[in-house]
Amino acid sequence: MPDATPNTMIKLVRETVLPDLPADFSTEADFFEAGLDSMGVMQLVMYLEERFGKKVEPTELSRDNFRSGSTLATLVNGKTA
Amino acid sequence: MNIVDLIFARSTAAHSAVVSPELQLTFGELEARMKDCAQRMSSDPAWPKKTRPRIGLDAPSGTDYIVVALSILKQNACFVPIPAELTASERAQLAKSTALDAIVVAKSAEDWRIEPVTHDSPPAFDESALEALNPAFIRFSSGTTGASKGIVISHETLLGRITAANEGLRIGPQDRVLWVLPMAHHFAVSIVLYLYHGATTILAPASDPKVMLTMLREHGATVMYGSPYHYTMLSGQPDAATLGSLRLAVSTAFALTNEVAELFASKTGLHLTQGMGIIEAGLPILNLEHARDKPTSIGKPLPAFEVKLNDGELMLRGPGIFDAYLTPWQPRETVLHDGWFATGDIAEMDEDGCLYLRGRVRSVINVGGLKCFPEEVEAILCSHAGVKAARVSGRAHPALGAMPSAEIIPQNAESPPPVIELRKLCQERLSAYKVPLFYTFVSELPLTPSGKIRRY
Repeated sequence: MPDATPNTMIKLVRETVLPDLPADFSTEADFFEAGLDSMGVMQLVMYLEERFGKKVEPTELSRDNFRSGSTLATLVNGKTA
Repeated sequence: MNIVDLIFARSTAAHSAVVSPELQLTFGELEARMKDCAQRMSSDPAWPKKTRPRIGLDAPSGTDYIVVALSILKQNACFVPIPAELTASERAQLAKSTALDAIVVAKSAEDWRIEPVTHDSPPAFDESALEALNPAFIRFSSGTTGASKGIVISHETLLGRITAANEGLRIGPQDRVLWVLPMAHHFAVSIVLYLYHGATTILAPASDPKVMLTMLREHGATVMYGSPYHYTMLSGQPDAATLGSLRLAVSTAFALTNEVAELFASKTGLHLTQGMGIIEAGLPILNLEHARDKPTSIGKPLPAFEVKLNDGELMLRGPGIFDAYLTPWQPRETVLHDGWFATGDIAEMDEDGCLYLRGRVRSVINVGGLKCFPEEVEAILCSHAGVKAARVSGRAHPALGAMPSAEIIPQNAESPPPVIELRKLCQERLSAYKVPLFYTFVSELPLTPSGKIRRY
C-alpha cells in the first residue's frame, strides 16, 4: 500500500481532480478554496478506496476530512476523529 | 406567456422565497431584485438587440443564480445554462451549436458582465422556428454538446411539466425545500417548480453535511432533493436523525442502491423516494408508494403520464415533453411516435407496476448524474501516439454511482504511455467528470461480431 503522507495526498489530488493546483500548495491549504467540488470529492473517494484499499465510511464524508493534504492523509491512515 | 410573470402573479410578497447562508429573499424582494437586474441588463450596451436572444449563463449556484436566471427569462431571452466544469473548447462548442448571442458571466445579481458572442457561420437551426416556440431553456442531455442534441423547452412546456410533477411532489407555500444540487444542471423542474408553487428554497453547500443539517433544522425543511451521495454523507452525521422530520426526501441523479437506502432509513427513520428526472420530460416517474419496501424502484408514472415498455425500452407519454431538438432541428412531432417518447432507458416493471431502470439502450456512463459517452473519451485517448485502442466503461460504487475507467491497448506493450500523460490529455479536452479515474493496460479488448468494442 502506498504511503499516505500529506504531500503524496496533494500529488494525488493534483493528478486526479485538481490539475491546476500550484506547485507550492501547502499541506494545510484548502482544497475547496482551490476548486474542489462535490464531484471531485466523489472521484477522490473512489480513487482512495481503490488505491489505498481504504473504505471511506459515511461518517468520514465530511468537509473537514477532505479539506487539505494533511487531513486527507489522516483520513487514509485511519486516524480520523 | 412568460413563466416568470406567472410565478410572481401567484406569489405572496412577504413569504420567504430563497434562503442561503449569504442572502435571504422574500418573493417581493426576489421580484424587486430580479426586475432591477433585468432592467440593468436590457439597458446594457452589450445586451443583444433582438426580441428573443439566446443568452448563456455562467454563474455559481446560489441565490443570485436564481435572480440572474429569472432576469434573463423575464426579458424573453432563451436561457442556456453553462456548467462550470466545461473546458474552454466544450464551452466554445456549446456557444456555437446554440448560436448564443451573448454570455452573462455573473458573480452576483450586481456584479456581472455581458460578453457578446460572434459566429463565423449562421445557426445550424431555423431561428424563426425556434423563436415561434416561445423558448425558455436550451439544455444538453450529456452535460455538454459532445454527442447530444440541444433540447428546447418552451415557457408553456415548462408550465406543463412543473404542474404534472407537482401532482406527485405536492409542494406548496408550507414547504421548505433543502437544495444541494448544481443549478446549471437542475433548475426547471426544481427551483422553478418550488417558486411557482410558492415554496421556500433553502440553498445549502453541497459538500458540507454539517451545514446542511444545521440549515435543515434552523429553517424547518420539509422536503429534500439530493443524490445518493448526499444521503450517504448525511447518514454519517451524528445528528442524522434530524432528517426524519422531512416529509419527503427525493433521491435523483443516479441509481439509489439498497445499501444506501437501508443506511439512510436506519439512521433517519425516513425512506428515500427515488425519482426519474429526465431533461426531455421533467419528472414523470416517482416512487411515492413503495419507498419503504422497494427503494431501488423509480416507482410508477405520475397521474399525467403513461408508460410502456417497447422491447425493454421505457416509453413515456404525457405533458411537458420537450418542444424540439435544436441540432439537427427536429420539432417534437417528428421525434414522438403517437405521442410516445423513447427514453433510451432499459426498464423492467414488476407485478405492482413499479419500474426499475436496468441500463441504457446506448452506451452512456452516468457519472454523479452527468452523462459521459465512452466513445468521446475513447477518441481522446486514441489521439495519443502511444495508444492503439481504448475502451471506457463505468466502474460502479454503491454510494457514488459510476466513474469512467479506461482499458488501453498500448502501441508498444513494452513501454505503455505514462498514465499521467493520458490523464492530462483527457483533462485538457474533457470536463473533469469525464476524465477516467482508472487506467489499465491490456493486450486485447473484447469485440462484437461486427468488430466494434463490446460494451457489456
